[in-house]
Amino acid sequence: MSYNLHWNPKHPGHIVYLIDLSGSMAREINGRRMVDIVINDVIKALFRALRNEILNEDDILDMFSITVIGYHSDVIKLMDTYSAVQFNRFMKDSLKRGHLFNTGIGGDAEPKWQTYMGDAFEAASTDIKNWIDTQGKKGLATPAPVVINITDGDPYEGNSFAYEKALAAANRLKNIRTPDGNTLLFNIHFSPDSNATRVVLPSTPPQARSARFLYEASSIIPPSLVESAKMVSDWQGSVITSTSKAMVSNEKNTDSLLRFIQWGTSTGGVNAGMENAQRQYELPKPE
Amino acid sequence: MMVVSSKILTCFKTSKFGLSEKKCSDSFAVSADGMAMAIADGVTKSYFSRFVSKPLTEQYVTSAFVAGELFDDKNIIRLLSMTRDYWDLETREYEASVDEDTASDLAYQRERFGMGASTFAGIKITDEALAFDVLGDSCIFIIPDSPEITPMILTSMPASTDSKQEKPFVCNFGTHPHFLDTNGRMVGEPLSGKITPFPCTIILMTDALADWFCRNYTLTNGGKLIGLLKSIDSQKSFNNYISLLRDQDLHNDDVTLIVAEISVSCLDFEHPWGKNIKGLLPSTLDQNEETDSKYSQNTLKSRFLKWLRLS
Repeated sequence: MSYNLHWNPKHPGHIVYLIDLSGSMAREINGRRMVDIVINDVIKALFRALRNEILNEDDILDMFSITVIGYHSDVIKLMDTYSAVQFNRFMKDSLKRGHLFNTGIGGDAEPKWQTYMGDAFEAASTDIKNWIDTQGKKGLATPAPVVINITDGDPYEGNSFAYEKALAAANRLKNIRTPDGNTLLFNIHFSPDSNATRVVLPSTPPQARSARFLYEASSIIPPSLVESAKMVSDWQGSVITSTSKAMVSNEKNTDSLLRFIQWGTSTGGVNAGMENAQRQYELPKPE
Repeated sequence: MMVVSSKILTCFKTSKFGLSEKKCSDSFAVSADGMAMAIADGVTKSYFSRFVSKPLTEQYVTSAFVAGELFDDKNIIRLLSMTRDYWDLETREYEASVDEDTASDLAYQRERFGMGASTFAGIKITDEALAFDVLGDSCIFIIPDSPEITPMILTSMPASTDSKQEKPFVCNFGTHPHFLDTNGRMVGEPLSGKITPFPCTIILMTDALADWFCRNYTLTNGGKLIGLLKSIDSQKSFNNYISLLRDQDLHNDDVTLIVAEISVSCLDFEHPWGKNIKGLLPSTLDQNEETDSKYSQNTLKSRFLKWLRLS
């Protein structure tokens, strides 16, 4: 297992985003609902960056396919294995729709009910198995798939926490493998109104039950991401090693949340950013 | 007096897998006499970067831009202006030629990126000097014929050479490249200078291949690898070779390669830096320690600051 197979048209990658749409995602932070912060700020910024990756003048690079699964007491496929071309169309149409996903009352992404996270992991497993099967029939190599789960809480079903069920489903998901490596599962606990200490990419199990669940459910970060994680200024205080787990809990900052998702998405070599020292010249106007 | 000549052996480019050749954002140019050569790598996250890389390379080898001082303020404003004008004209023409749906994709990219951008690496060869200008992760490798001389990598990104290591080249291009853009910006600190000519092979590579080269060039197989690169004599063999490398560990990117042999016709050639110069030559001028302060980057820059001028 190398996790070296870059996503490109020769062997496109596959990424699944799991978005918690339970009732608690309707709570407001500074006048905005959690679900709107996650989808309309973070996911939109991420998708714009991904669109930039695939658009090359009037060509579209078939670098990856994307699935987006929302979950509460049900599991909803908001985007079902969209190719790069379909994804670009989706983004263009979102301008006409006025939203990425409909988070309003009655919309597909309306937050409600409980947190059946285990069912979401199972849905991701099914999705990834189908993708591997399809790529195999096309004779394409398959980079290790990536799953990024964004939640504001814990798996909760009926009257109790459902850690064991969710953990078993996460482990089944992580056990789906390609020659490039096992499926990578990143878990993010986003909680802007939490007072608890943030835990980023830990190498040892955190004490808090919620964080420990995420630790157990998450993959060890692939070698190629260890160095890039060390470069992220937000995480400078964390000890990041080759045994760190791909998780953050009690993330309070929206920019940091986006950075974590972008970092996880960069597993297949998808990247963004052009910041550097620069000189700016005033050029004469064209003649 | 030395008489220096250059023979271009290999000069090809190809686009990343999944894109047509005409969409390749890399460019190269070589002067008719083979004494000036340049490559440029259009930045992926910019708008129509091939319309930036093309004028950069062509202007460098055909116009009066003088090597070794390309990036001083006066020259760079002129270069960037010409490049911006070319890019502006070409992009407007292209936009006018596509259907409405495609035009919306292009409008999105123009708004999103707002500019075209490119790296640059160029070298001009005279009897007096190998004069170079590099910005970004496009690289110039200088492989001396004599094993006594340390090979060099010239790039403005972090890189070094250690001739005691089996893999002498180390580069780290990272995710924040240096580049020139059509908004008049020069991002990153360029590397310019000149060195006294000696018999060698000069190789220009854009980043993906340069990175691969650093990881795969060893003291043991270096000669064989250089020989292989020199033997690529057609676009087809170049494409086949790159395809083979992509099945291994070459990143899928546009790729450009120029290989030139530099001869110095002097019967009793002795490099002016002396006979026993092993280890004294800078691995990259950018990171040269003051082991030989006479040839440190700052000294080189100041020494030749007034040497070259636009005609």
